[in-house]
Amino acid sequence: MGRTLESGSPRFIVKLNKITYPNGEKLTRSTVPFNAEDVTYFPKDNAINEVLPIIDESYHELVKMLQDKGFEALPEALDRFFEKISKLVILGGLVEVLPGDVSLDINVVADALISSNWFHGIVDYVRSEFRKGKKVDAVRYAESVRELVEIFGVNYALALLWKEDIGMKRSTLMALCRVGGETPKIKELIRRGLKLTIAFELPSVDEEHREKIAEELVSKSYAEAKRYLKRTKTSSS
Amino acid sequence: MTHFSLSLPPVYKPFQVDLEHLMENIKEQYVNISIEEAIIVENTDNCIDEGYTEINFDLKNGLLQILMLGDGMDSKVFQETLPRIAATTKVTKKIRSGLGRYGWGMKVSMYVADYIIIETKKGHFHGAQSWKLIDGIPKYKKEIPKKQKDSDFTLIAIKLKKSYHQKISLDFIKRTLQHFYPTILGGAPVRNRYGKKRRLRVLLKSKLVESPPEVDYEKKSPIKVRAVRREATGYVFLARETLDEAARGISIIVHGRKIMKDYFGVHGSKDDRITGYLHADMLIDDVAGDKTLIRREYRWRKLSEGAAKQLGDFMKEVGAIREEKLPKDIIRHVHQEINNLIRHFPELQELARKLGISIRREVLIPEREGDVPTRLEEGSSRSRGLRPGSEKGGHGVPISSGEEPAKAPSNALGEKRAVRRKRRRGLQIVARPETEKKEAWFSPEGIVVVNSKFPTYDKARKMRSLSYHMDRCAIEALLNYALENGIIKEEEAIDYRTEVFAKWGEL
Repeated sequence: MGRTLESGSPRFIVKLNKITYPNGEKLTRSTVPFNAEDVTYFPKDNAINEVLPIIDESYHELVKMLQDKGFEALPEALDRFFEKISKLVILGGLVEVLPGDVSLDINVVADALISSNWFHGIVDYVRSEFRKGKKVDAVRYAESVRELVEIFGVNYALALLWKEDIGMKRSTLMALCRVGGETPKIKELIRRGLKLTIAFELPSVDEEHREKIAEELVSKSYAEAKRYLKRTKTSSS
Repeated sequence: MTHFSLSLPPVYKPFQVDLEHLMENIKEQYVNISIEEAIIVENTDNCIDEGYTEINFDLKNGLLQILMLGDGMDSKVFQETLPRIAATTKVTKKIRSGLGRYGWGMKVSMYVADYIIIETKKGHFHGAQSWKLIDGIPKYKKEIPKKQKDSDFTLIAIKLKKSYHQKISLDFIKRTLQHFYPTILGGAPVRNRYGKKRRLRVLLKSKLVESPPEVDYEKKSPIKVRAVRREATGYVFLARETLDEAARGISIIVHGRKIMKDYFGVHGSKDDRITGYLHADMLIDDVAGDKTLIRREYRWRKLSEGAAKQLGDFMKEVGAIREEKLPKDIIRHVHQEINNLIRHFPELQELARKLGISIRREVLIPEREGDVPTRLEEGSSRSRGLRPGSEKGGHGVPISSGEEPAKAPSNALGEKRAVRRKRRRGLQIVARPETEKKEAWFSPEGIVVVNSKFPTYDKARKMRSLSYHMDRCAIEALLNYALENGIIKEEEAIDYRTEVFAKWGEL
């Protein structure tokens, strides 16, 4: 059975790319980046085959709406687009591909994104959790930061947050990004009590090992978890 | 007649003590040890703290006598400090280095006693006093000393209440001593509150109390931890059989007294067979509560860190925890592999150059303190390659249209500064579902698209070898592209492919 937008299945990182097909056709398509070095979750189930057609279709609708109604419809179209896709994926590459597909200046697209409800929703949530000792939902917090970074890039996202009076450090942003792209199991462990700051320090090993280590850590106190991580990292070096 | 009312300015007066309530509170402090055990350990702890060299317990007809030899109380301590609750000689503002600290350890004995007689001799001073709890209130009176002895001593004679005759037996005293002072009974020297070490003889009815039986172990290993400039030493054992719960874990022993058990956060599959002890006198100031707790502060953290490592090593050695070696080869940067591969094949180098992938190129990044003088001109990218300013608001990175557009270093001589950095346009490998029956292809944007609907993808997923599949697809796609674009000659393609894969396998 295919996924539905309401399924609540784990989100993963999707990037919109311009791809040249073997027949020479050049199209914007959603893709799931694979990088063995990166610790970003790469879905091993059928999620890619189920979700990506939905993203492609939603993007197609976005482009069509803009072509039909003009760039005045941009904020509304973007909100509608994100409403459909952000329950399923954390999207990147939009700023790179959309201007070309709808013949708009990149600045216009970026500005529309910044004025969208999607953007304000994310920033409001990040603000509500920023510097809060006990996060209401640490995973959502991390995913929100990752969403901003996927769309705007690290530097720009950081500057945007600062402009919104959220003085997040670059290192924190990077660490949150990492957690935002973690595997569903690790995110679940964070919800079950694995400390965010401990999750920041999970070693960069394959998903299976990382999940195993995270499982070991979830029941440990902060000090014990730090010691365990230190030992694990030392023993592997 | 005139009446004068004299009103004096108010002055601070000391609070009054509700002695009955205070005594109840003292009793309440004993959470992890029973009141009967407290009688034995509090008196032994006092003995450890001072200069005594021998302690002898005797019990006859409900009279528990604790005779301590080798030291005594001077007149000031005996007459002023001893009969005061919560008064002690052991804590000064600067140091607290004894097991006793609250000044109520001995007083709790009154709960189990009809009366207590304390007699001491130190040098020329020889005195005695008796204590009694009357209607819940502790009271004392002077007694005539009776015991004739040349050397210094203190004798505590506790006339037990009838209800405690059964509970406090010779066997109970022996078990309590073995539980709380296992290494002293084994002959280990113990430190007093002045830092001096000596062997303390512990006797029951004038016979040395045996140390607890040593565990029947499969493996024994010393622990030596240096923390806060002092050394903690002990042993860890792997027992042959499953241990009673009380015997499991490493006993933390401070000044001869077992305080608590711990695993220092190291757990494995054989926790029920791990036992041992660690003499950690550096924690004396961190002993808390009823002396069955240690405050988790700096000294504890340092000790625990070192002990955890050694316990972890021991556990690994006995197979209680699996070696958490992380696979070094599992994380192999795909770009690095492709780069390494390309280095061996000039034709592929040509392709990479043409496509601008995996090739390092130099870029300039604006930096106030940079060593490259440059002009800033209209840049192609607003964010990438730019660093946000250090001040709030991200100066230098425009946020909204209408603001000054971002400029990038042009490398033309100017007044701005920049730094040189190496950047690489990496080869991207992505997965996406395609209906076309194609496993993967190379898109000249620098992307290898791997078809997630192609049967081999699903096979690789099920065989848990997706990484291999993705890498192989990337190389195949590059080779195919090189072949289609004439970079590799068709007649050489098969051999070339074999060579490339052979090399890849070697990397």
